[in-house]
Amino acid sequence: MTTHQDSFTDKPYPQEEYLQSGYLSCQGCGGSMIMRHALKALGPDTVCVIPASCWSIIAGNWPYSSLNIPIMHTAFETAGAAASGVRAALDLKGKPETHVLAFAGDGGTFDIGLQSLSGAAERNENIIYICYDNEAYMNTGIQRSSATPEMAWTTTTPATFPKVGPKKNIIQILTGHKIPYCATANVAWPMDLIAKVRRAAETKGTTFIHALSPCPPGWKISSEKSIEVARLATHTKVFPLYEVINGESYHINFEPKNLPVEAYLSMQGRFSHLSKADIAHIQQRVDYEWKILLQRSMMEPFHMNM
Amino acid sequence: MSDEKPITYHNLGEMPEYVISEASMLWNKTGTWRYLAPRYLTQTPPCNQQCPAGNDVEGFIRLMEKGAIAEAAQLIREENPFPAVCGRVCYHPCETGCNRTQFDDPVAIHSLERVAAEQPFPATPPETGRPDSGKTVAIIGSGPSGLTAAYHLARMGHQPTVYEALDEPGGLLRYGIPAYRLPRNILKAEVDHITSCGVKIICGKRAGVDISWSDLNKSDAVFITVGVHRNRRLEIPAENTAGILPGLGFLESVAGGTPPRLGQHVIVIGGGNTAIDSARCALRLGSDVSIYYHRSRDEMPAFEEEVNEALKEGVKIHFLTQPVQFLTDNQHLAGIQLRETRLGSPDESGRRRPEPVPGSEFDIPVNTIITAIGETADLDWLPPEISHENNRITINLFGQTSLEKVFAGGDAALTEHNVTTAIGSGKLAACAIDAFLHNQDFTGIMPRITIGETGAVSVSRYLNHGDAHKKQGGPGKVVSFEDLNLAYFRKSARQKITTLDFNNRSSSFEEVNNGLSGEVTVIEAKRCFHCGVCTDCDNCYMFCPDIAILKKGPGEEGYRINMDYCKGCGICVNECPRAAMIMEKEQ
Amino acid sequence: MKKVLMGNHAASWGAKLSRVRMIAAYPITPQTHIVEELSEMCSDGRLDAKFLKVESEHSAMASVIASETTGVRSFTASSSNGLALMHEMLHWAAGARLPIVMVNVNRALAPGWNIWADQGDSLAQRDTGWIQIYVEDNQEVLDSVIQGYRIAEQVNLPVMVCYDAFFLSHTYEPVDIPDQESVDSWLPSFEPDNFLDPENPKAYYGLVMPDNYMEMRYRLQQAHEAAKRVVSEVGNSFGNHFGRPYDLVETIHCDDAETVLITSSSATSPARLVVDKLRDAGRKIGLLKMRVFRPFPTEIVQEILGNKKTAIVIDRNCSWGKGGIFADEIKGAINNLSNRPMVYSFIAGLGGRGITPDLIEDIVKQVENSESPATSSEWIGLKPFN
Ligand SMILES: Cc1cc2nc3c(=O)[nH]c(=O)nc-3n(C[C@H](O)[C@H](O)[C@H](O)COP(=O)(O)OP(=O)(O)OC[C@H]3O[C@@H](n4cnc5c(N)ncnc54)[C@H](O)[C@@H]3O)c2cc1C
Ligand SMILES: Cc1ncc(C[n+]2csc(CCOP(=O)(O)OP(=O)(O)O)c2C)c(N)n1
Ligand code: SF4
Ligand code: SF4
Ligand code: SF4
Ligand SMILES: [Mg+2]
Repeated sequence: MTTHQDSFTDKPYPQEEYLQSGYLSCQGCGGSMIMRHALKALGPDTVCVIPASCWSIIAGNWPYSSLNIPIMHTAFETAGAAASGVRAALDLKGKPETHVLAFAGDGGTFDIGLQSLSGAAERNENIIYICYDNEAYMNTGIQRSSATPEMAWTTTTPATFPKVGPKKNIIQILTGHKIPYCATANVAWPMDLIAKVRRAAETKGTTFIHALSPCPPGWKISSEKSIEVARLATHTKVFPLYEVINGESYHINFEPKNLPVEAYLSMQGRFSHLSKADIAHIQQRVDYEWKILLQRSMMEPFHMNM
Repeated sequence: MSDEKPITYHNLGEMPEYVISEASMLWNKTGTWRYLAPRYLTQTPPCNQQCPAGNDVEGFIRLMEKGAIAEAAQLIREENPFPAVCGRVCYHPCETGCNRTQFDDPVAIHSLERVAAEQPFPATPPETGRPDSGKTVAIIGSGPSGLTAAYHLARMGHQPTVYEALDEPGGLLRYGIPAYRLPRNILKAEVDHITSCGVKIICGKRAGVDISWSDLNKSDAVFITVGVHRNRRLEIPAENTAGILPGLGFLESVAGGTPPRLGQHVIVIGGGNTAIDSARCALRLGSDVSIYYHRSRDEMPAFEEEVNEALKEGVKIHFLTQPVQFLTDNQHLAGIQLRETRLGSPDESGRRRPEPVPGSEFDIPVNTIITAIGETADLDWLPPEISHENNRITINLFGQTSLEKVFAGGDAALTEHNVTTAIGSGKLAACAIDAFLHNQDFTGIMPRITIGETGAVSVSRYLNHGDAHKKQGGPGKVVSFEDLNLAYFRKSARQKITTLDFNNRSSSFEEVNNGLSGEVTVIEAKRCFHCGVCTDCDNCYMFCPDIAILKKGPGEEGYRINMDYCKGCGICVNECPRAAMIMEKEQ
Repeated sequence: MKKVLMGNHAASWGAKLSRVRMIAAYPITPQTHIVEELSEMCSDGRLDAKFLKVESEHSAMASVIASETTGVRSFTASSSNGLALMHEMLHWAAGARLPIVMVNVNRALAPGWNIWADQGDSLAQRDTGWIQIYVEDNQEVLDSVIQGYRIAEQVNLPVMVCYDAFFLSHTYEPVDIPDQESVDSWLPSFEPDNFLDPENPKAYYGLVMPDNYMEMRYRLQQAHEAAKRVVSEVGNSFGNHFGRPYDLVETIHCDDAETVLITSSSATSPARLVVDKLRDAGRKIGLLKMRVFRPFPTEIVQEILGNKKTAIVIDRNCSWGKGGIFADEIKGAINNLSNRPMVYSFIAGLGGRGITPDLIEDIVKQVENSESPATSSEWIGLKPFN
């Protein structure tokens, strides 16, 4: 029997592993889970490009590697370009079917790597780009990124002066490139994530998956709550699960339980300084964004398949 | 390159020139980071603990969910030879305890049990691996308690002989509970199965009358389960007048196929099961029926579902009225005088005591009255060495009487009077007698075989044969609703059973409740959370960030934790939907 | 085949004849013709390669690093601000030990915007680990790109071929374009041992801890040391095959010279005229053309300058706060010799200003009239103050 959560694909979890234990992620790291799931979706004929991020460390130090597929570590801002280069070379070598996966953090995607990602997306390079979004520069010790949520604490946005302004909407940026496939995903829904990575792999052109990746030290949660907090992100509509085809057609994959954002925020130390008014403000913003998403999806708001 | 050891280069020549890695990280045993460790632990589902018969409720539902109905039936019979009976007449405390109750509705456990029992009986009872012991056990009374003990004792290799005073075996299942609730053929099939397992039943032999205590005492052990069968008297004037029928006697004659003639209007005095069943029988024999009960609805000892059915069938119930005297006319019953009561302070049962309302007397003309205010046990024939008190045989925690080799159970020894408790006490006696026959100290065994903290004993755990004992939950704590991870469960309505049309009830003893139909059985079974028991749902396996949870090899169920790499994050335990894992300090 | 080509097209031809498969580049004056020509060649089928039109020089270098890592011969070209933007990735290419060849058209850095010749851009990349070749004419541009691949792939180091903006890039000169077959028979195809390969999964360029990092870097330095020999051998072999030999440096009349004039890139051509003229006038003067700057040919410089009286270094560059970079490097190279010349350092021609024979003659005169060099580099051709 499987009791995966309400996922739109309830297939058995693939058993082949392309990641081997011994890697250096913290307890409860969402990023390592996302890599594991993604590689299961892609299989062994995959080359992975990893820019500077926690994953530069997680993968293991020379002369070791915890991945059973070839990987190329690259500079922080170069995931898009490096993946393009690998793609070009593989095509030249007659290997167009080999998947090229760029696996980058939010800093490497939303901030410093946005330019090269945009370049690759604009050229519609045949690559799969997964951003594991832990909402800050974790590798360097929890500094804010443009993916950091509004009013969150980080080491560069102290509780006395927390992050100003909302989280950048990266999907909107990518859909602006009219790439064939964009999706959000969440570690709490591994089968959904796998289905999306598979779909990305089957799609020719640039595909982008924005995967929420809880980080226990960075979010100030205890490690066992990692999945739970991620799940709440979706159920509170803070991080809805949806796909965008050709930059135009939005599909919400999952009907959130519509819990109050407080349920999500109050679990995390990085939001512990928030006042009732702050929370109300965040709730408003979340409700508003959700409304926009609903409108974009042109979908009945309460279509339930539960 | 070796996976097990880190690589150290001592000289430049052996060192690769480029930043290219080929070795794995497997040497890096991240298990050393851990300060708490996860462990798979089967914990007790509340339903299992709450079932007085000690059914492996979760276990049989799990099988039914996979469509393995025959295996489910067999699993039940490892504990309880009466699933068809329990699936019909048990008042299902398991469902009261079901964690699903706090989510939407409890799982329809007893309906599922009934479906399981529809399976044809297997050729042999569940295997125990026990050789013949050559020991004999005399069992007095063939009610559910006696037959259950006999069944398990036979499985354990002993020779039980059941002595029954009445013509047919089954106790109150046969002569108390009417056929519209428990069809005769259903009961007979289960009793026959018990006899086919090596149980000898001798009917028409009343202990103390047809067979002496000293003869019975020749057996290696004795189990007394004579139930409570003496009708309690009202002790009011004219109680011996013809037309006044004792409840249990009335039911017995109905069950025996020789019902008495009743008047058009029948009054039943009492509020227990006997009263309700008597009323419903009288209704089916063509009379209008009114029940008079001296307390209010809340205090009625009859099972609520039965009361509801009786009301729906047209039985009228008058509360807070008590009989004052029977009215006679020329030695014939002419009616009854009643009076109103009000509730005073609680009695020793905790229920509020009815007090008469002065001057409230009134008469009702009627020529059939059934009295059903309770039954008492007939213990007069017992030898004096077997002590009893308050009309109950005195027993210790595991059913032993004041005589070492004599055990007692069921209604005759317990305060709780119902089928499933009787079955549980039969199991306890079987285990205790077996231990006694093998000269083992049962006090040490009892905790190990008790389901959960307060549940019945488990025969499969007692026998510790095969892997049945694994299925009865662990000795660990009982899983509460708060222990579950509800994210993984969806709301789904409890499947309803169908019942006999009311038009057909007043004239026939046809069974009122139908079971769940085939298709919905699996749907209902799938509602079970499987509290505390791993279902191989893959959550731990899938969510472990460190791939430290491995599936066991092909053909094997379950998972293994690779402690070399488990960082102790606790996600597996947190994401287990059903509390089948725990985090703990390592030794 | 002889053709009149501008320097930039000589570079494109060099890349084409080297059968590069992957080109990623971003346009910047004065490099644009290189990429325009190559994209032409790719689209009309003359060159079987992929031209990746990246959105920046940083990405250009990142993607050729990636394609080389995947085992495909790759090329790029840039200049000035573009090269500066690549800086991080230049380290990456060398640290990854990738035999990438790039052309850098030497151009001044902004501000103020200046698109003309100046070596400051590539010399600022001195410590990135690249082999740097400074070439004098368009023929050498073409020849050096082809040699560049042979050198690079032999020592696993990237090679930067540098030449002056406009003086070469936009100037037409007759260039002998070798046959493709002839190049093919001299330049082996690119068959690296290591490349990104799902059949043989390895991880590239990961974290290196202090216990190994230094050894890694030592190997990089050793590769540079070895490259000196390889550059000579390859230049020699190229000469045997194509009739135009090359080496780390070129010397003219140095053997009996007391004074050696030292130049690089296009400034060498006027210096040749000046040296010939002064020789005719009986002066013991020679010319040392510094062709390869990294690895620095220390041994050769020592040998040539060891017994000379005077060395005059003309730099079209300046390390701010210090002075002419070639001069400094040369001083460093000979510092430990017991017999060593006085080194005069001159800065000239920044931002596209001409280095004419007259200017060079003025420099020589100035040196002849001075007792000892100034403590810092002297600027030549400045407008007078008053
Ligand atoms: C009308 C009625 C309806 C009920 N409905 C339900 C119900 O729906 N659900 C439920 O759970 N419970 C119900 N009960 C209670 C339940 O039937 C009893 O609790 C249960 O049968 C007790 O089992 P037992 O084995 O202890 O005794 P019994 O079933 O009473 O069996 C005792 C047997 O011992 C025999 N016996 C007695 N004395 C001697 C002797 N001296 N020698 C030989 N044999 C002897 C009797 O004849 C009888 O067959 C009901 C009871 C009644 C009266
Ligand atoms: C050009 C450059 N700037 C800064 C850094 C330092 N750096 C390395 S990883 C990192 C943060 C990465 O953040 P993100 O992409 O969100 O990944 P995470 O570490 O959170 O997984 C930074 C700032 C760098 N390696 N390169
Ligand atoms: S810091 Fe956060 S993202 Fe990085 S390894 Fe640890 S848990 Fe994962
Ligand atoms: S949900 Fe299932 S296991 Fe849990 S109490 Fe109910 S029947 Fe038992
Ligand atoms: S999820 Fe994995 S690492 Fe975490 S406690 Fe469980 S087995 Fe250990
Ligand atoms: Mg991050």
